Amino acid sequence: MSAVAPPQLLLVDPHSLFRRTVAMVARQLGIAQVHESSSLEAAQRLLEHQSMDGLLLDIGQGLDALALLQSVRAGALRCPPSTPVALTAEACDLPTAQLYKELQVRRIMLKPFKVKTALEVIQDLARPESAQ
Amino acid sequence: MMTAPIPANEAERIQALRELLILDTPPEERFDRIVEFAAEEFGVPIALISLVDDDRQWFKARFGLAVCETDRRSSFCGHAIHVSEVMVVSDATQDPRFADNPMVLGPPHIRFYAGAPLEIRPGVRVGTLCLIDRRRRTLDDTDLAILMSLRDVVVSELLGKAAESGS
Repeated sequence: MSAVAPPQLLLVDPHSLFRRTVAMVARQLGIAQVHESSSLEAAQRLLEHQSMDGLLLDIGQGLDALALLQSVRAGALRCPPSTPVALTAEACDLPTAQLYKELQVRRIMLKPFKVKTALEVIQDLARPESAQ
Repeated sequence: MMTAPIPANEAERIQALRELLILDTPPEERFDRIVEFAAEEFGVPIALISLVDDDRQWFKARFGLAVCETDRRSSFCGHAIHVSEVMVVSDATQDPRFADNPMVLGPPHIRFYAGAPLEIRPGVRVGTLCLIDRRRRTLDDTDLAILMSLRDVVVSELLGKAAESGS
């Protein structure tokens, strides 16, 4: 019997201890193989060469993550355009939330949040679409 | 109170601890941020990196506690270094090892304790990353995995293997 490969997820966040802890626990609990990236630029480069089953992106101070998300939705990267995405943000007003909705963002997490919450979101992103 | 027992490999353990050259060194941001992160993640008032020396436990990093060391005999961490798993005491007032411990009966009024041993090589545990609360608590499997991962980060830092992962 062959082992099933865990879902591959990309976590983009500037906080190294947070990224590292999430990645280690997700692997330990068999939730997903979490790839880490400290910046959207590095994430863009990774996604040009490698597909992911889900993305958890820090929106940052500006809306830079939107350009990356738009590239995913446009099929310009290796991920399928329908790749599930969750965002983390310091704040989110209604027009911005509407914009995220149009880009099929599955979840917006407002900071601060716990590693445990991020793991729940990753578990949701890693779930096959048929199980939603 | 049950005094923290002495591990069978105590001489090797103390030698390994001394070789880290970390006892009585100043606070360091790389350790401080871990205890602060742990305290926030678990919502506990106290989180510590405790190193168990000959007759004391000395805190390399501390969140929520003013003192930098306490005696080993009454330490919870002195018990936690005997096992490789996380030692969880949900309610110290109900645990015969700790019910009359001075740190339970008086400040900091420990009720809950969880200590993840810092195993720097097989069987050699020099201290713990520990969480303390003044109320009864439990940890689920995800909590334990998070605490153990943070513990692994501490061990990597102690051994100088901490490399920034990710791009």
